[in-house]
Amino acid sequence: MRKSLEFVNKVASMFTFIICMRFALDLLPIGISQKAPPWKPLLVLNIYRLVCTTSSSPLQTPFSLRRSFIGVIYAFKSRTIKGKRCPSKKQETMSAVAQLQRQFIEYTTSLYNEGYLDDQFTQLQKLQDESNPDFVVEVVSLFFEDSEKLLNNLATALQQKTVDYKQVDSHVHQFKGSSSSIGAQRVTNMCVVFRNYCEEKNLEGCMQCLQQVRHEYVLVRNKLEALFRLEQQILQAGGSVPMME
Amino acid sequence: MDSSSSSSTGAGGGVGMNEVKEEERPHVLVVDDSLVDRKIMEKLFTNSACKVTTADSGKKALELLGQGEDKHTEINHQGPKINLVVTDYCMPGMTGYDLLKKVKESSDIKEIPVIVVSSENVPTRIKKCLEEGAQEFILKPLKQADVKKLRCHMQFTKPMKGRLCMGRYTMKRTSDNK
Repeated sequence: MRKSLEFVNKVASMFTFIICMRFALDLLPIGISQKAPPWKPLLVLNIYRLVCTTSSSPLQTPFSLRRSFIGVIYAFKSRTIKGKRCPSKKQETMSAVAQLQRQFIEYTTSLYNEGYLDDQFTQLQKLQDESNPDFVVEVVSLFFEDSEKLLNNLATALQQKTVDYKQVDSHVHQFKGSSSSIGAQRVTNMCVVFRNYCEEKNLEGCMQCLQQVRHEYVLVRNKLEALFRLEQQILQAGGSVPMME
Repeated sequence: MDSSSSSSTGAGGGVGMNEVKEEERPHVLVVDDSLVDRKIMEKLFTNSACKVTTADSGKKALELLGQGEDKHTEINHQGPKINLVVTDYCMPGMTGYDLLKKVKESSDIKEIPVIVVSSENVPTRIKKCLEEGAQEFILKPLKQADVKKLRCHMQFTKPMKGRLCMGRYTMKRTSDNK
């Protein structure tokens, strides 16, 4: 009886030690709380039962055993309260997802702050739902195709011997419209400047603007493609894409 | 309470109909030359439980309304009836304003409300459209909130169970709600 009690005591203390060690090592604050896996309460319950069978009542268990038992309970409880998870393969994937989600939020916020995207992009994301989960990607892809065509048309139009400014203006107007529908703010602003040069029939100004518009377009295209790649990574890791307000 | 009286001209055909088909969602015709804008507006209206048809030009829109040059395609009478037209102002060929004029000039489709959207805030343009009979003039890009407001402009020809139209048209209800 005594030997088995000692054995249980050893196991319980070892358990407490392992868990407390992991508890200490798991320092990364993770904002997203997860539900405790179901085996945790079961384990606690089984330890309690084990403790009870080794003595007539919990109050009579040796001090060391009780201490270890309390240590285990505390370790589990504090982890559940703080939302931290016991490290396991599943948990490692979860923290990878959380990291990706955090990256996504930071990247999206920076795009808004730097003026690449505006509220209209958020509106587009709000339109997306389960019936059409690729809506934003589809619309943005259409925008990319449309923009390539417009940029080519603009380059051709400005290279003519006699430049038809009305035609150039109509292309820029279209580009302005589609970019503002997507929320590509910097492209839209550049188009406004472009249109002013068209009105003045300033060829050099127009050529410069074309370069700048193309530059802004390439920038926003790269940023959006990076954003979509991040989204894919999150989804593939089993997480969900955070909604930006 | 008995059913309230209706001011809608089309309600006569709907009186006494107890059963309402699920397909009686409002039918919107979206006219815009930009593919990106068409797709966005289509989603906006689909999210507001509307049926959407798109057209990339005024000419195509008129054909869908049954006013095409051939006039043998009377889609508006045989197919799903259009309850609302949303058109972009700046379009090559027939502008939104021209389309609006044609709709309001024709005898059979002039009751269909027309909404004009534009990316440019030009007061003379807005005034011109409203004078010609446009229901509303909205600035692009459109938001979900704008579309929700537009639901009240849609013309219902049959009473729709459970759906209340707030605005110009009150519906004759065969059920005893409100």
